[in-house]
Amino acid sequence: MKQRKKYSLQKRRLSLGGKDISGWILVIPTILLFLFIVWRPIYIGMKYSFYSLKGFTPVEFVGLKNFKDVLTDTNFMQTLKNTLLYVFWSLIVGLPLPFICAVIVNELWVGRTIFKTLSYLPCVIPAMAVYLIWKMIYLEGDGGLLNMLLYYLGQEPAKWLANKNIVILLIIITMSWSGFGSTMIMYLASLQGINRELYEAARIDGAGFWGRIRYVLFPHMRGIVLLMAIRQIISVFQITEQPMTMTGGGPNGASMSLGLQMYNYAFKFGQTDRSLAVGVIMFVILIGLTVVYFKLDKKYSD
Amino acid sequence: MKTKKIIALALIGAMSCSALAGCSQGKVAEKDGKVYVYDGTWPEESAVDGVKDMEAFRDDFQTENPDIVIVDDAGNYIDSQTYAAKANAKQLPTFNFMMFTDIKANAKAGYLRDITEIMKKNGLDTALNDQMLDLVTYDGKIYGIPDNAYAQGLEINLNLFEQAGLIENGKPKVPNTWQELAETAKVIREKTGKAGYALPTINNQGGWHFINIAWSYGVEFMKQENDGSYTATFDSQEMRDALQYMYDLKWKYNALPDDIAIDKAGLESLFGSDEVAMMIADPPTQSLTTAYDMNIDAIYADRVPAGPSGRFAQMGGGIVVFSPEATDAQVEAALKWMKFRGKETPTITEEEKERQGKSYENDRSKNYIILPKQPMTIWKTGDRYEEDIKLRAQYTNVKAENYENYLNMEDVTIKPEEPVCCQELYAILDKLIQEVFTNENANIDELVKTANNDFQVNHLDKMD
Repeated sequence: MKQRKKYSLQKRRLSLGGKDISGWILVIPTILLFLFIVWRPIYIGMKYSFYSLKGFTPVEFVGLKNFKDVLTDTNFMQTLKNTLLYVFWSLIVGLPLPFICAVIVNELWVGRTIFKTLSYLPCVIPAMAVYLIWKMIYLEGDGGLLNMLLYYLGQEPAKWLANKNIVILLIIITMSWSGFGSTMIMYLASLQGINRELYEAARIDGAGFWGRIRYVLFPHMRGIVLLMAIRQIISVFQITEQPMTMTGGGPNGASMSLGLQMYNYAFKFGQTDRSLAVGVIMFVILIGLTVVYFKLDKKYSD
Repeated sequence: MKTKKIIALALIGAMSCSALAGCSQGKVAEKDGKVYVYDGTWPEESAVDGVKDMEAFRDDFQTENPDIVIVDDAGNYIDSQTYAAKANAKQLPTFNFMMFTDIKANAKAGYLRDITEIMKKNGLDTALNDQMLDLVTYDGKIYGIPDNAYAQGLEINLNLFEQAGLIENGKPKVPNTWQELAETAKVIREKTGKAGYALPTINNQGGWHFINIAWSYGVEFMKQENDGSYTATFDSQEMRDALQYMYDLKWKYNALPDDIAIDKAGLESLFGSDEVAMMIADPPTQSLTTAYDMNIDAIYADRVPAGPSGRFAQMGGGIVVFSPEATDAQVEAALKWMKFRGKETPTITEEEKERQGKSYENDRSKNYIILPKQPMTIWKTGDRYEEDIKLRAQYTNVKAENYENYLNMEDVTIKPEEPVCCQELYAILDKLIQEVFTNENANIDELVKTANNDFQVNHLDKMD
């Protein structure tokens, strides 16, 4: 009975009646902020994407023309493909590494704090500095750090960011390096939430190292890994400043992303309406992913 | 409980106010019979002397014109994004500086005020050079007053020329044609190991520089049809030759630096640190002496090299533009204020000469390059240009012969930007250059065809 009461308390919603007035008063500032900073711009952006704009001022309703203009751009499919490649590589590189490191750090008895601090350090470097540092690492010719390494190994200097086939992967490596620490700390926090007794129980039942990982660690971590994956997909899908700083979207559009294309439409070409149309296309794709995110979130938090 | 409610209410009040604060309704144009002019060209606070001078000017001006209030509104034209944001928030100053290359997009977006009538009334439209007038005219209306103008030229790093043995009788062996430039660059690479030539390739700046080369190879980028529409016309042999030249710079002459993904600032840093010997720029490039400590005498400027179709240089510079919100009274008052300071007029006053002299002196002390004359004239009437030359004679800090050829511009055709979709064209040219610089097997024929089609389908066909 006691258990049921607690459950009903958790599920109780704010009613519009008088006795919840304090609750409403407390949420109104947040609602106002969301209204002005998030919902209103989204609504206006969507509405204006159906208009021809002069600057940011709507001139006339043009229906789907802006979307047609953007979708029939001869480079659109390449840009979409690039954006999906960014997401793909981020899942290959950016997801498993912090997880594996978190598992290792969690097992450490000595030096755990130092390792945690060291891994977190890249997160405190301003993003722009990170991209510029990595640009120096990838620099073409003899001056780049990677090429110096190749030189010591007796190899010819290679092309890095100028190589169309690997430029996206290289940008993702930079991003993963930068975000590695914070992702690892989140995994670590979750790992530390695993009851040690479960490991003991598994050991008594005869589970070895892999057995413990399979039967205790994975079931516990599956939720957070999935959530991190979805969050990563959503954030990497919007990638803009990394290619802007490191390659300008080049060479020959090989690292152009939808986000950077949106920026170019708005601020390079002065075509705000088309920029908004790209924004809405991205929004629709991301809303789909967010629905998946919430579904997973619900599944694993219940 | 009561206290909590009060705190919550206070919070709501504060947050609502801050949320609504963004919705302000522009700047006051007139109050108590006084016209307010917001001066966006006001010097930044850090330029202490400049601010002091301006304040003194303002005091004198306001005493003479008690019905006008000049408000300092510095730092508004940082970049096109900031400008657009301010224009939409109706927070632009009454007048402001803008680059030549940005004027069309901003006029089209409605961020600039049409000043045709006021220019005519003050006789300024007929005093402007025809080329300058064309530059500030969009769709038959005048949107600004040119403040300074230049044409691009070839800058040479004499340190590297010296090391490569390319100085004869104290004079650099300047390449006269693009072909000679490639060969000179090859010599520099062989003798010094450094890059002979470089140009930016990203942020639309590659296109902006390459267009000089393309024009000199005879490329025509677009033509206007009878119905007013535009057709892309650079799927031509001339364009293939120009692009082949770029390809050769990289793969035949090994003229370029290792990192080709550079912007203008990156290029200047390479040139300033003796890593690149030649670049197309708008002399004088001030960062070379102020940021990279280059010796002023180690910089040489000449005309852009010639191609098979001649010698072409793109024009650039700064323009004074007005806020679309500015009233007639504000624009008139602003012009009066500029005239009082001797700015944006065909003639120069004694006070302005004195102020300008101080400014040159100050620039000189900070190692800025002061040329013996401005590269281009703005006005076809008045004595401003001649008086400025006299003034500069006292302060110039370069060897005259180092800039003589550049400033004389002999047989150089100075061209404004292409008529429409310039930034879009530069973006496409950026991609072409990147491709030929990074792909040894680049198919130039196919690239030109695709680029021409992209420009037509993605931009010219979709012009509003």
